[in-house]
Amino acid sequence: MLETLAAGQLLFAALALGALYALVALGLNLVYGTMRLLNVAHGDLVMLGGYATYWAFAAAGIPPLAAVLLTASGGAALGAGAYRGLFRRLLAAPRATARIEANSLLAFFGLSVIVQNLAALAFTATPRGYEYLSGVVRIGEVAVTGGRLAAVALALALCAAVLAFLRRHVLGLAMRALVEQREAAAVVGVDIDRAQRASFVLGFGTAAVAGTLLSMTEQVSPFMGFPITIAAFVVVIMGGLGRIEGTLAAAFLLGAIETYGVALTSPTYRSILVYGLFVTVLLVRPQGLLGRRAIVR
Amino acid sequence: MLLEVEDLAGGYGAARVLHGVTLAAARGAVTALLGANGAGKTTLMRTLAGLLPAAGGAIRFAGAEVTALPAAARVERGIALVPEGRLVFPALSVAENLRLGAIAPRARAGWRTRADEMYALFPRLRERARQPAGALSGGEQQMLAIARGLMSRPDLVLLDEPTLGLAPAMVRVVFDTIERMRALGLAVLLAEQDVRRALQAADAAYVIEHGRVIAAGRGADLAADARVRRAYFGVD
Ligand SMILES: Nc1ncnc2c1ncn2[C@@H]1O[C@H](COP(=O)(O)OP(=O)(O)O)[C@@H](O)[C@H]1O
Ligand SMILES: [Mg+2]
Repeated sequence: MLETLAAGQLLFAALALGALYALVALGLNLVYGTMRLLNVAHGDLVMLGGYATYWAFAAAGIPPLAAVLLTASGGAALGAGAYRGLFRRLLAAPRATARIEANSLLAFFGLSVIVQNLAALAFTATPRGYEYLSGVVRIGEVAVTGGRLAAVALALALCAAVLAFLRRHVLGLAMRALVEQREAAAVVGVDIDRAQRASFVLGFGTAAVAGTLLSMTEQVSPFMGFPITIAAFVVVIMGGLGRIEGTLAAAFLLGAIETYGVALTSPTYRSILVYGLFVTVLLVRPQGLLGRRAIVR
Repeated sequence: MLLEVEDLAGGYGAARVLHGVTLAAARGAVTALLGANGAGKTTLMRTLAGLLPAAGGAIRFAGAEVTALPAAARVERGIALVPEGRLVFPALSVAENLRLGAIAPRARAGWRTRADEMYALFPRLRERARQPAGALSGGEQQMLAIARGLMSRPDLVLLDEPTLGLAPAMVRVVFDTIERMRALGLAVLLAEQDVRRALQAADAAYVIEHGRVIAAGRGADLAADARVRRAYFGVD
């Protein structure tokens, strides 16, 4: 038992899961932070990215590592479209805003169910997978397929890039300002419309890319998005709403807890573990594990 | 006049607070805005900054009408609000707060040099550059809010109750800074509780009551005005 736990294989699995959660949860938290809308359909974007990658490979022979560009731009365009077509107009009317905020969970949940069932109609419920970079690579004692290694490396690199963007780029700083203090962001002259659109573009784009990366290691199916949404949700709550660094830390923590928890017990306990953690964190530290209450004097 | 406000109406939706305010502010001058709590000073400041919509009247700035411009566009024209209650970004560092002060396109070039000027102006901020703004004392947060406003290279600074709740030493620092802004040729519109001090510092002043200007004049004249004396100094 102890040997299993100390094995590099398990550590790699935890890292891989954490990187995926980080990528998905970052986007979920950004959209939440800038818009105060919790997109429960976020995981379905991962599913759509997965299918897009599968079809690009199966029908057009586009390798998944190239399809990343496709799904990234597709997701980004979808984000820009959703913002422009739906949210900007709705949020411009204060009364509509109050209505949406109250009902956003239900509305997104409905949207999610619709998207999932449309996907099931279009692609059938049969899981789809493909063979890509399936040769085994050895790093020390860890043996992984090339596809899995590439997926994890790309996920980590993307998380780092998003973090760097949010820290260093003016637009990233504007987005963080909006998350932090909407009113103060307006005071200093942040272009709120632009920053909000950027959070949709980034959030949707990273989710779709996560779908590509996930399809390189697992089969895709119409209902794969929901558990991902839940996991991302747990990460966001753990890391703190609107908190970027907290989200990253929480994603890797959840990845580790889930991987090691399942290894210690059995896969049957996965949901109990994830939801148990969710409820515990909500009860014990509603401001997030790393979050602190804002001190304003 | 750099800022000309004519018959400005506004408030919060159906709750009208400003009922036709007319005033002006000039470059290189401090214009004080006096009035009891709830008179409408903050509402006026926020309407000038574009955070609240105007319901009527006009705001002209540097010769152009800005009444309908969004807040970001007004910052870009050269209007900076230092809001009541400071509104710093509590989880971001002092340095990031200053960086955000320079987010308007007009202010992006040379923001590092300007941040250094701010650190020279308020050495406390340099010491705390890496700390989250939320960990600063009230006085330090006020310094930060003023510095953040100046980072946008404004021509007009709207200072809303900058000395509220500050220790006397900090109040002196704030008034020294206001003096410096005037010397640099900025227009300063100052809402202030400390009426004596505000009138000493001001070139011109307006007294607001229930969303209307009820008295206006040079600072010294207003200090002698019977209505102002009654309202603020408790003498006849
Ligand atoms: N968010 C708000 N919604 C509705 N009414 C408000 C709001 N903020 C202030 N008011 C009202 O506007 C009036 C003027 O307030 P304010 O502009 O803050 O005055 P001052 O800054 O001079 O103390 C007050 O009667 C106040 O109750
Ligand atoms: Mg006020």
